[in-house]
Amino acid sequence: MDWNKDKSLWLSKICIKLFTITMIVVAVFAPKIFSALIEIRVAYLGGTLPYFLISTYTLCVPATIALAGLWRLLDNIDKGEVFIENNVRILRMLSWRCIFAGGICLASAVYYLPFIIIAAAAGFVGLLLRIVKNVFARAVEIKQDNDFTI
Amino acid sequence: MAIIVNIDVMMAKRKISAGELSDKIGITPANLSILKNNKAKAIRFSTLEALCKALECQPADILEFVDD
Repeated sequence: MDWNKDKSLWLSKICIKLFTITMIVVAVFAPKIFSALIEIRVAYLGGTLPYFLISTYTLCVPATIALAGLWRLLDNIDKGEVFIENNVRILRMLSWRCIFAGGICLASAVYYLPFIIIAAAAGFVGLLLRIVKNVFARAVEIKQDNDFTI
Repeated sequence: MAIIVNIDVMMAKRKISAGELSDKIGITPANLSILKNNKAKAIRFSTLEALCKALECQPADILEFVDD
C-alpha cells in the first residue's frame, strides 16, 4: 500500500469525525445507555442515573473543544504550518482539556469507581500533550532562529 | 547589549541600492531587509564574507556592539 503523509492526515481527520459522531450518539442516547447499565448492576448503581448524565454532559464540553482543536491542528499541519505559535497554543489547550476531563472523571469516581481508570488515562494523555507542547514550543524557537539567520 | 548591523551606512557610502546588493551577495531582498532592520538573529560567515566583498569593507564596518 502506498502510504504517505497526506493519507495519514486524511486518516486522522476521519478518526476525528468518527469520535465526533460517537460523542454525539453517546450524548443523545446517554439516558438509555446508562439506564441499561444501571438495570444490569442495580444493586450498586441504583439512583445514580442523574450523576452519570451530569458527568457525560460535562465531559462533552472539553471533548468538543478538544476535537475542534485537533481539527484546527491537523488543518494547520495540512497547510504546511507545523511549528507555529498557534499550534503550541492548541496543544496547551488540548493538554488542559484532558486534565480537566480527568478531574471530572475523578469526581465521578465517587459514585462509580471505574471512572478512576478514565481519570488516570486522561491525566496521562494530558501530561503527554504537555510534553509535546513543550517540544513544539522549543521547535518554534529554533525555527524562528533559523528563519532569521541570514 | 546588542549587535547593530550598519549595512545601510555602508550602502550609502558605496552608493549601492538594496536590490543591487542583494543580487551581488545572493540573498533575497526580504532577507537583506531583515538584516538592515536589525531583525536578524544571526548572520552566516558566508553572508558576512559576501557583504564585505560587495561593500569593500571589514566586518567591523558592518557590525557594531552597543552596550545597553
